[in-house]
Amino acid sequence: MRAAQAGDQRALDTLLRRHYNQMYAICRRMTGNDADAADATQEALITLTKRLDRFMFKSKFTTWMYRVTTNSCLDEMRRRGRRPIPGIPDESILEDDGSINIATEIADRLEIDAALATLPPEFRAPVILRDQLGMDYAEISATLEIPPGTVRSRIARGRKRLADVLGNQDDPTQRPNRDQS
Amino acid sequence: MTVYDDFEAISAYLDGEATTDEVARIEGSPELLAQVAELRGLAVLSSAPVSYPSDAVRNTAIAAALAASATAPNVTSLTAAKAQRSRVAIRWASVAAAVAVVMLAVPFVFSESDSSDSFSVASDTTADSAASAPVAEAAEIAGSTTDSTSDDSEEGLESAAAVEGSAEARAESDQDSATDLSQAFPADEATTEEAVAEEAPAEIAPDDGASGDGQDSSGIVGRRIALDQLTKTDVANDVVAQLLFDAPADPANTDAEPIPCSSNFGPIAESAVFTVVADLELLILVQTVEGIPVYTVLSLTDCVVITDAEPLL
Repeated sequence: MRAAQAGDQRALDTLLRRHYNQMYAICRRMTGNDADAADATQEALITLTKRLDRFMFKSKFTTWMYRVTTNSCLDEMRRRGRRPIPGIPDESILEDDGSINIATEIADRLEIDAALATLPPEFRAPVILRDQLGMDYAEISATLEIPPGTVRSRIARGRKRLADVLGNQDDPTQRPNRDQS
Repeated sequence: MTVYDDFEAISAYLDGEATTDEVARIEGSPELLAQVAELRGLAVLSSAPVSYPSDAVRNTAIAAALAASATAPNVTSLTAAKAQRSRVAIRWASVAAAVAVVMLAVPFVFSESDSSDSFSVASDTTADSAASAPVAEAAEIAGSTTDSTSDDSEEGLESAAAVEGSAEARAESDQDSATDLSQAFPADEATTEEAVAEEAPAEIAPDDGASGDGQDSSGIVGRRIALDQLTKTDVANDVVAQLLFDAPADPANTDAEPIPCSSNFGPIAESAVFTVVADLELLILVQTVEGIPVYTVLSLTDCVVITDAEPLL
C-alpha cells in the first residue's frame, strides 16, 4: 500500500488486482447488471488511484476503498439518471453445461438483482456491504459514514423490503412469480 | 408465516449484532427463531457470489486506473489531452509572439559571435549585454500571454495527474509573470567554446551545474542539452520528459509506447542545442547553418514543429 502510494506502479497494479473482485461485487449488486458494474468499478479504480495520495492511514484501507467504491457506484447511477437495471449475467456463466441448476442460479440472481433494485440506495448499500462482503456493522458504519444504529435499522428495513419482494426463501412456492408481478 | 414482530432485532441477530437482551428474547422464542431461519434464506440469496468479468475487462479497468494515477510517468489522461488540445490555438499566438521577438534579438545575439562555428547558441557570452534585454522582453510578452491562457487550462491540468509536473511549472511561472527568458537562454554562463564543445553529441553542457543524468528534475529547464541527449530514460519523471512523452499513449494499454515526440527533431537532432521555455512548453532550437542562425520552435505538448524560421539577417 505504501509503495503504491509512493508511486510504485507495480505495487499499485498489485493492489488494484487484489481488491478488484470485492469492488466489482459491490458495484454488481449496486448497479444490478454486468455492464454498469464494470463501468462503475473502473470509475472507482480511477478515483482510488487519483486519491491514493490523500489516504492518511487513519482508517483501514479496505474501509476507505469500499467507501470510494460505493460512492462511485452511486455517482455512476446518478450520472445515468436511473435505478439499477437487472440484467442477464455475462455469457461466461452460461457456458458451462446449461443445467437446470445454473438456470435456477441465474433466475435467483435476476430475482435478487431485481429485488435490490427496488431498494433506495441508502438501504441497498448497507445490505450489500453486509451480505456480499460480510462486513460487520461497525465497518459498514465507517464505510458509509453513518452511525452504527442507522446501519442496523437500514439493513433491517432493506431486508424487510427484500423479503416482501422475494417472499419466503424457505418455501419456493411462496416466492412471488416474476411472471405474475 | 411471516410475522416479523421485531424485524430489526431478528436482522441484527442474524448478523450477530443483536444485544444480549435481544439474543435472549429471540432464542427463547421458537416463533422468532423460525423467523430468523426464514430471513437467513433471504440473506443467503443476497450474499450469493456475483459472476466476475473477464480478464480483459479487469485488465482494461486496471490499466485505465494506472494511467490516471498521480504517479503515472508516461501516460496522460484523455481529459488532459483534450484540455491540452483546446489550448493549442491560444498557444499558437504565444508562439508567434515569442518567435517574433526572439528573431528580433538575433542580430544582437550573433553580431559578435564566430560565424565559422558549425553552430552556435543564443547564449554566447559576447552577446550578453545586447541579447539580454530583448530576450527578457520576449519573456515578458510570452509570459503575459501564457498567463492569460493558464486559467483556462488549469482545470484540465489539475484533473490529469500525469501532467502535474507541467502544471506546477506553469503555476510557478504564473507567480512570476515576467518570466526571465534569459534564464532559459543562459546568456551569462555559456561560452562560445562550450557551445562548440556541444558539437560532440554525447556531451551535455553543464552550464547550470545540473548533473545531466536526468535525476535532477529542476535541472532541465533553462539548461542547454544536446538534443540527442534527450531520451525518455535520461529525463524520466522530469518536466521535460512529461511534456515530450506523455501525450498520445493509449491509457487502456500499459504496454503502449507513447509517441516519441523527439522523432520530430529529425535531421537537426545531431547538431543543435535547445532551450526549454517551461511556461510556454516550447522548445526553441538554435543552430547555425553556414554562419546563419536558424531557429526552430517546437510545441512540446503537441509533438509538432510549429515553425522553422530563419532570422532576418
